[in-house]
Formats: sequence, structure tokens, C-alpha cells
Amino acid sequence: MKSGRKLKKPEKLNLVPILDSVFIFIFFLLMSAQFLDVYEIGSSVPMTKEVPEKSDQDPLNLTVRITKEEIEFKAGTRSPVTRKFSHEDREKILGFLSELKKRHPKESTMIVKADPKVSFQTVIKIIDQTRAPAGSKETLFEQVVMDTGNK
Amino acid sequence: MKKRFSRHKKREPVDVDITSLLDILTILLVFLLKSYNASDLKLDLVKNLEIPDSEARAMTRFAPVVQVDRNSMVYLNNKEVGRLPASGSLRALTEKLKEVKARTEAEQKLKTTSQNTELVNLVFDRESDYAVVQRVMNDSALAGYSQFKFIVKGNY
Repeated sequence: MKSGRKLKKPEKLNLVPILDSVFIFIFFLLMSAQFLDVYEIGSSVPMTKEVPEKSDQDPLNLTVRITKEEIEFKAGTRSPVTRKFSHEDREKILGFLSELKKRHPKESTMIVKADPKVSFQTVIKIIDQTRAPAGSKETLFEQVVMDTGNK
Repeated sequence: MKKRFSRHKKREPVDVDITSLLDILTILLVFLLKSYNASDLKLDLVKNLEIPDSEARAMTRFAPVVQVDRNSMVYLNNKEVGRLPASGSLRALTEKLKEVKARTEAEQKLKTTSQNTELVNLVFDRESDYAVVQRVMNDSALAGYSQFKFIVKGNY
């Protein structure tokens, strides 16, 4: 028994317009592609500012001095606290800075001083550790002021 | 004549299977979309320069680019300026930066650019000494640039 209906041929989709747009899109992306993922770390020229003499809290004035052997943190002006760490003490540094941040939540600036012979990669690694803990949205001291060596 | 042509059979249009082509295009599209960077700074690294790895995720911005390779050769916007002396500053860099700054400020007055005239992008080799960084920062500050952006490579 043959059916009375004719078998319909499957309709073919016209893919030409979508292919055109995909090609244009790919061309645009290829032109603007940057295969090296680059980001920035901001720093500004060190500047001085006047602070009122009578203040309840000792200003933090966090300074980190980087040498090839160790990292030294100095916090406070009236009764400064100095702590030294080795380059491998990542967890201890994080603990120390988190504690400082808890005591000075409004402070976000850190001055970076490094020995002239310290490599730039080492400085960047320390800045990474002090700006924010890895994989966390919490920020510590994200404003970095690099010492320009001007006395 | 007519007879000769009629001998040829009318060819049916050939169907090209474009499925595999579409597959490739889709993969390429996904790859390019993933590597797309919305930053307006296009960085062409000079030779002998490997930028440091960092966990920073701040997007770069368009500004003059100073690059210093591992041999202390200095480039401003990919044009060679000179070699950093063993001590002291590189005057040519300060002068060239001043020229760039003056040009940008003039463009800003004509409102053809909204670029921050205080900002300079600094690119150093990962093995560069901090002394090199300090001297380039000094030279840039002397030219009137007060905001430095250190360009780093994202590591995952």
C-alpha cells in the first residue's frame, strides 16, 4: 500500500549569512587578539602630606624593605614594629599583614623599598603577596608606592 | 552548433558538506573569544625582554610605553632611545617623554584624546635590577609622569 502523500525532501538551511558573520567576527577577533596576557600594577611617585599632629591612632606607614636574603616589614611611626621574614615565609607574611589590616582597616598604602641588586621579579612577587592573598577577593595593601631612590 | 551543446548533460549543483568547516570555525571562535582582551593597550614586546609573572588582574590602559630589555636598552613606544648608563639618568628618555606628554596635552586641549597625561607604562625584564627600575622611574617623574604602571604577565 503506497501512501498518497509525497515524501518531502529535508529542507536545507541557508548557512551563508551566518557563515559570513562568523568569518567577520573571527577576523575582528584575530586582529584584536593579544596572545600574551598582560596586566598592570600601579604605583605613584612618593609624595608627602601633612597629617594632624594629634591623632589617637599611630599612623601605619607600612614599609617593606626587600633584600636578596630577607623581607623586612616596618609598621607605625611612634612605636614602630619591625618583622623580618625569609622569602619562603609566604604564610607567615600573609598572617602578619592580615593582622595589620585588621588593626588598620582604612590603611591601604604600602611603601616598597628594595636593594638595587634585587631582581624585578622578586619585587613583583612580594608586591603580589602584600596586595591580596592568592585566590581571595580580600585586599590587604593594594596601593603600592615604589621607592624611586631620590633622597 | 545547437546539437553539439545539447550533447552535454546538465550538471546538478554539487553539495559541499560544510559541517567540518563549521566545527573548525566554532573551535576557533571559542578560542579567540577566550583570549580576547578588552584593554586598549597593544603591547609589542622588544627583543631580549621577558616580563615578570604576577597575580595582578588589573587591565592595562593606553599610555606611553617605556620598555627596558635585559641589556638595559631603553625603548619608548617601540623606538630605541638609548642604553641606560652605568649610573645616573638617561636624559634622552626624559626629553622624549616630555615631547610625548606635550603632544598628548595638546591633543587633550583639542579634545581628540581623553588619555591620562600623568600615566606611563613601564615594562622591565624579570631579571632587571631594582636600580634600573628606580632610574627609569626617576627619569619618567622628571618628565612629569607621576603614575607608573608596571606591566606584568598573568600567571595561572
